Amino acid sequence: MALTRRNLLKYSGAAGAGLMTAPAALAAFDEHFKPASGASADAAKVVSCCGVCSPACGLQATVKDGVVQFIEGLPGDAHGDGHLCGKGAAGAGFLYDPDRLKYPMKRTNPNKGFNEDPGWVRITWTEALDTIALQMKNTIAQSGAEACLFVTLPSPDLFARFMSAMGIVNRVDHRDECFQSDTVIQKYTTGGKSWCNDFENSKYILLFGWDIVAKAKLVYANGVVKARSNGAKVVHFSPTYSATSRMSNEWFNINPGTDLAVALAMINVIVGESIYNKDFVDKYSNFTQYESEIRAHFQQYTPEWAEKESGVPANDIRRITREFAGSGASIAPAHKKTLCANYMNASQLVHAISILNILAGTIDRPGGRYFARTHAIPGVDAVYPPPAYPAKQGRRVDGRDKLPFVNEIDQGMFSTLADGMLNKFPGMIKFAFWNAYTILALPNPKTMEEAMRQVNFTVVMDFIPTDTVSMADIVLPSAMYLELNDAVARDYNAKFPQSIARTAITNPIFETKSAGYVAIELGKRLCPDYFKLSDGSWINPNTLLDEKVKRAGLGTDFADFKAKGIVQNPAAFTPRTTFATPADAGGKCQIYVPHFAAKGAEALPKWHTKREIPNPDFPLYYITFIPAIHKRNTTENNRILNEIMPTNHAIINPALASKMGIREGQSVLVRSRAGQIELPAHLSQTVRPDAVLVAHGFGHASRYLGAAGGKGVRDGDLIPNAAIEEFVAAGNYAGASCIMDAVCSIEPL
Amino acid sequence: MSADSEFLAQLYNGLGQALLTPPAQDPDAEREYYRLFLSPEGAPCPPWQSVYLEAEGEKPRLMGPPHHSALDWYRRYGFEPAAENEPADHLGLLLLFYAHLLAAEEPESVLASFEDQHLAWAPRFIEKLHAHARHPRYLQLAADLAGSL
Repeated sequence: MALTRRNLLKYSGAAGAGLMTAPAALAAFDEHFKPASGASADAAKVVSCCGVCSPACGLQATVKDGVVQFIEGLPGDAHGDGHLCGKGAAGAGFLYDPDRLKYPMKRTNPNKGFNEDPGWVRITWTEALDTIALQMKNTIAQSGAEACLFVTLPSPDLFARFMSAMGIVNRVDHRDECFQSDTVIQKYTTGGKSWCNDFENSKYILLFGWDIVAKAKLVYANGVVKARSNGAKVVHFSPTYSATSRMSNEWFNINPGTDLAVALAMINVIVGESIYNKDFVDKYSNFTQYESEIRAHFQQYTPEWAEKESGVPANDIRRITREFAGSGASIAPAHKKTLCANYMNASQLVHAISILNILAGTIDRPGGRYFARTHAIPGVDAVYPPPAYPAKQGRRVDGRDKLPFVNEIDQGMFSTLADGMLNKFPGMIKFAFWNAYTILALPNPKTMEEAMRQVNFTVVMDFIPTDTVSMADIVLPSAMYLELNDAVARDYNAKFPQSIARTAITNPIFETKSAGYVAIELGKRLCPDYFKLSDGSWINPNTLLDEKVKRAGLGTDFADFKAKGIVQNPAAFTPRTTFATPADAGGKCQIYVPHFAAKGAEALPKWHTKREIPNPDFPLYYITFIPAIHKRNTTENNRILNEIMPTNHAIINPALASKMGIREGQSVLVRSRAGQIELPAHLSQTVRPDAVLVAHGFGHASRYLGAAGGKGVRDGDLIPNAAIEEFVAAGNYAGASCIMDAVCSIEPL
Repeated sequence: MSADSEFLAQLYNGLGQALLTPPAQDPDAEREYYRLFLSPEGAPCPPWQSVYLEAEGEKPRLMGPPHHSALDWYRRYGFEPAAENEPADHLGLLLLFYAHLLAAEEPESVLASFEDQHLAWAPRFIEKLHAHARHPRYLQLAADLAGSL
């Protein structure tokens, strides 16, 4: 370098001539530096909770000079048991992803698409918010609130308040691909969706398709492992041999989409042999009221019939049922984005699973599914009651109003969104706001791309580049869970209340902000009455959080709560004797659900096939999965996680490979009626010879996404999206998406 | 300040400024600046030292060890970056600070130490800039950086 300096002086006439400015350029130093305000600090540990998924496992972060160095589990914490999963431990990989969205930006090239250079330029937050507010205002004035699409969960509460104040009818989310069917069914059968499963006290755990030890929540995985150590029996029905299959006592390689047949046959056996938990069922369910209907209905579903559908031997179904009914503390959990929750027959399957739990008598009992005992942390509307919200007027672009049970819980529907935008109501959506979702999350993303091209103005708020950004007019950079304060009432392992302070362990990097900030700022511009307090001041998110903490009894203010870290109120577990089912159910669990029948659905679950079954054109089942090390489609660019699993493969059985002439690593073409993908094959005995298994989350097209860009393929390209009428006709009244329901072919390239 | 020091200080100052500030008066060049360094679709030429540590077995990231080291340098001379919550190891900041050291006529050992710790990685950035730049201004910047570092 010193040599370069001398050379530069020697040849000073040539070097740097293009850019060097006048001597005044030294003023640049004063523009970009300021006097030091502090000295470098030693590393310290800060306690908070994870936000990668919802159980909020306790964590401690080593922080040096405001920069997170390392994240680990919080010893002794009830959620996570002192550990974090791989995703949680890799938190710094999200925080310091070089590709993080850093500043608000706007497109200067009006042409949208992956082959266009959007001509991004940086803008101020004020310009971004002013522009978004104006676009939204004009859209509503000209075309009504129905022309605005919000692709976001209804959170944080400030954002939900903004959407309600604006009369937004078209808010859509991913929950039809997730736990929506369980939310619908539990509302009517046991009185509400719960995330609590008392695995550690279970004697018998029956898993339909859920790879519980490898996927999703550490709190569940730990519970099942403890149960196994305590001598519980675990039975797993799954068309792939997963980590859970391996640790189960028995694994059944069930035909994809036929879990419902096994569940119906189990009810047949329990009811036929009257081996249900009589004390619970008679007292706390409507069994006796509808006994004749129930007995008559399930008579047809014999284990022999179920064997023909599912491939699970009738004798095993009978034996397992007797073990399940006789163990004293059995549980059949239903979860999210499991195989079983995502077939066309998931409404019936989840209902059948719920009936099994009721018959086992373990609803809100030791070893069963129970309801969370939590602190009541009020939302913004409880702290600052809003003026009356306007009525939501307009058409649901996804057609969800055709599914009344889904409409009333206000979840979904990614699976029918593209059909609505392209076919039912073309051109209706003129303004779209995507918050923390990418088109990779939707079935058949190509059709969603097409639908997005019809939208006049699109805002994308996220923390890293997503494929949705390529369609945006304005991009807003999100702060993330390690940069924000919140109070979290944990509801996964909640036999007694235990809330945790989510603390900003570092300041939001660059100009990232929270969705709550955006809600307040848009609210000030568009619906000020909903964001102004009685004294005329604007809602302040910090004061709001202080008030929530105080009202929930967690501390005098957030700082006090933060100092405590976790607030627990240990109390003995008192099982419920009345259940929050609809009022006319008399506080009982419902096996027979008259409310379903009243609106054209089934009071008792009937057999339905899955959406598609292998046929001559597409002779194989197409099964997708989310790998343990990734979360949906948001973690693939995390350099730590990307190193562990950087891409996806078509995983096939060696017998199928041999039949098709496919070698390990060879490129293959996998086709379905929706599209085709090309990817390398991986041979594994863990998949049936009649199936192709592909991991979700890969195939990000974002141009220079450092780790994940261009790696792997989109599993969704093979998954046909749906029209709402198909769901109605198929009796899919809980609106479960069909992301596990496609069939495909495979050929070597 | 000697004429040589002043010349060098101005040179690196100009290069640092060019990396930190988009040319608002030239819309094409401004868009090119954002495409190269700050695109929300992933930027091809991230200008932070912590992103270039693969040779040392590190993963590309922001706020890695070079951020802390750069901050230490700045603080030893009584400064901090004006932008809060942003990485201190942006090549533009490093060059401005290097110009400051030159203008202050710091001894050779100090200059060499800063160069080793905070400028030796620059060729990897320059290579990317050279490969991805389309606008003449940034092709020239790549050439100027290559000729100066």
